[in-house]
Amino acid sequence: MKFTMKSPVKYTGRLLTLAVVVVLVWGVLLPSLSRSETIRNRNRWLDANGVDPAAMFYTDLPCLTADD
Amino acid sequence: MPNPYQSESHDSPENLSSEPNQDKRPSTLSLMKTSEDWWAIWCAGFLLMVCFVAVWWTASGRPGGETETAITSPLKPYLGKPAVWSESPLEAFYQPARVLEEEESASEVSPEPNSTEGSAPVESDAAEPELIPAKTPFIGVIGAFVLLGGLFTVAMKLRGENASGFLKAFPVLFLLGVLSYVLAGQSVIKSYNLEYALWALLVGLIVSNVFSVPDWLRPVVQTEFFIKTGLVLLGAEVLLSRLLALGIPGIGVAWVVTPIVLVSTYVFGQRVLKLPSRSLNMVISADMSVCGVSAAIATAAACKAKKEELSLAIGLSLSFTVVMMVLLPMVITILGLPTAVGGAWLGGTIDATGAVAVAGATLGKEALEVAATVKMIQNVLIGVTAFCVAVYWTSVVEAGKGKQSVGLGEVWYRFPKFVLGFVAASLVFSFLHGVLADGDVMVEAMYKGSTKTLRGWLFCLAFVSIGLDTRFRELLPYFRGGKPMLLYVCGQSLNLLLTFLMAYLMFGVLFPSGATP
Repeated sequence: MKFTMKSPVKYTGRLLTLAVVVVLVWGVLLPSLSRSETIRNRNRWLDANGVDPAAMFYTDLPCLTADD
Repeated sequence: MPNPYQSESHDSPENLSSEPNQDKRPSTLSLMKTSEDWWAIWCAGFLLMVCFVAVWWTASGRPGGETETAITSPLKPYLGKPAVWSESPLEAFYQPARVLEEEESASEVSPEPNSTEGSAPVESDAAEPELIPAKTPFIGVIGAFVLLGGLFTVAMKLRGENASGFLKAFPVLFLLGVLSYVLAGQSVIKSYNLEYALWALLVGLIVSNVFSVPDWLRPVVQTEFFIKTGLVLLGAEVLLSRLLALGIPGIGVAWVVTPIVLVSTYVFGQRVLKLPSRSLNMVISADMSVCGVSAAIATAAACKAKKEELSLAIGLSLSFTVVMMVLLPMVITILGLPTAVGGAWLGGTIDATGAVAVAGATLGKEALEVAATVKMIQNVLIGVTAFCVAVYWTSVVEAGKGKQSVGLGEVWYRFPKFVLGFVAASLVFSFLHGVLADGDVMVEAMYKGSTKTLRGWLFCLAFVSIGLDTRFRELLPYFRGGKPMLLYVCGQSLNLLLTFLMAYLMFGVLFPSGATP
C-alpha cells in the first residue's frame, strides 16, 4: 500500500471534469429519467411488490419482512 | 505488468487477514487484546448487545394489550443512511411533509411493471388525502457517524493503533461513504440493482487513482476491520429457522444444489482452468453459487483473499446479475414453466438477493415468494459456507503449502476468529428468535431498526477503503487470460442446469402443490 500526496493544483482539471459528469448524470439525466412514466410505473410496481432491487441480504427485502 | 498470482494470497500483507507470520507467536489472550479479528467480535458484540437491549427495554415497557408488531427499536430514528431520492440529492437527507398522491396509493400488485393494470388508480373510499410526515434521514446519518466513529476510535486506541490519526481521517472516509450511498440511492440507479458496494468501490478507486490518497488518510483505511465487524453483525440476521422455510423442496434447491455447484466450480477452477489463485477461485465460486456480494465478502474474509480478488469477484457477479435479472424471466416465460418452478430457478441461480426479487416479481406473486424464499435460504447458508471455507483453508490449503502435518493448535492459530463471532451471533439470535417470548419480533425490530443499518455502513466504508487502497493497474492483471470470467460462466452454466433440474423435480413433479411458502 503506497500513499502519496501530490499537488492539488495538478488535479483541479480532473476534479472539475468529474464534478461536471456527476452533476450532469445524477443532477440532470437521472432525475429527468425518474420523471418518466415508465420509471415511475416501475418504481410503483417495485414498491407494491415489496421489492428492493438493491437488497444485499434477505433482511433488506420488504416482501420477506412484513412490517417494513 | 505484475502477475497477481505470483504468490499465494495468504502470504500477502494486503489480503483480508492480518495475523502475523512469525516463529514466536503471541498467545490467544494477547491476540484477543490486539488483533482485528477479535476486536471485530468485541465491537460487533457491543453493538448487538446495545441494540438488542434497547429493543428489549422498549418491549418490556409496553402495555400488556399491545400487539407484537408494536415493537420498534428506539434507536431507529438515530441510526440511518441517505434515503432513496428521485429529483434532488437533498431528498436523501431531508424530505418535507407532503400529501400522498392518488397514484402512489394505488398499491395493487401487478404482474408486470409496464402493465396498464398497475398504473391504474385504485378506487378508494377515503376522500381525505393522506399526509406523509417529513422524513429526516440526516439525523440517522449523523447518528451512525458518531456511533461508528466513536466506537472504532476507542477500539483503535485499545488495540494500540493510531487512534488519533483514525479519528482525524474518519470524517473524510465517512463522507465518501455518504457520497456512495447518495449515488446508489437515486431511484433509477437503485431500481436496476446497482448496489452501494459498487459505488463505494468506484468512489474509492477514483479518489486513489485520479487524485491519489494523502498520507493522513491512511490510518482510516481499515478494510478488514470494517468487513469483519460488519460480518459479525450480519451473523445476527442469519436466523437458522429460515433454513426450513420452504420445506423439502427448498432443501432440494438450496441445500443440495448450492454446495454441489460451489465445490464443483472450485474443483473445476483448480483442476481444469488451473486458476493460480485458490482464494480468487473460492470467492468467485461462492459468490456465484451462494448469494453474490454478501457471500463474496464472507468467503473472501474466511479464505484471506486479496482485496483485488474480492473487487473482481463482486464486479463479475454484479455484471452477470443485471443480465440474468432481465433475461431469465424471459426464458422462463418462453419455456412456459410453472411459476413456482421458475421462481425456484431464479432464486437458486441469480446471485444478488434484490435482483432475484425483481426477476421473481416479473413473473408474478407466487414466483416472487418462491424465488425470494430460496434466496433467503441461500443467504442463511452463508454462515455454513464461511465456516467450512475457513476450516478448509486453515487445515488443508495453508497446511498443504508447508508440506508438513498441521496440529490442532496450528489450525486454531490460523483460523479467522471473526468467523466464530459470526457463527456465535447467528446461534444466539436464532435462539432468542425461536425461544424468547416475542423473541421473533424483538430480533427483527433490532436488525430493522439498527444493526442492519450499521452493517450496511461498515460494508460501505470497507468498499470505499478497498477502492482507496487499490490501483487500477493492480486490477488489470487479474483479467489476463479471461480465466476468472470463464470460471464464472462455466460455474453459472452448471448452476443453471442443476438448479433447473432440481427446481423442476421438486416444484414441478414431487411437490407441485403447496410450493408457495
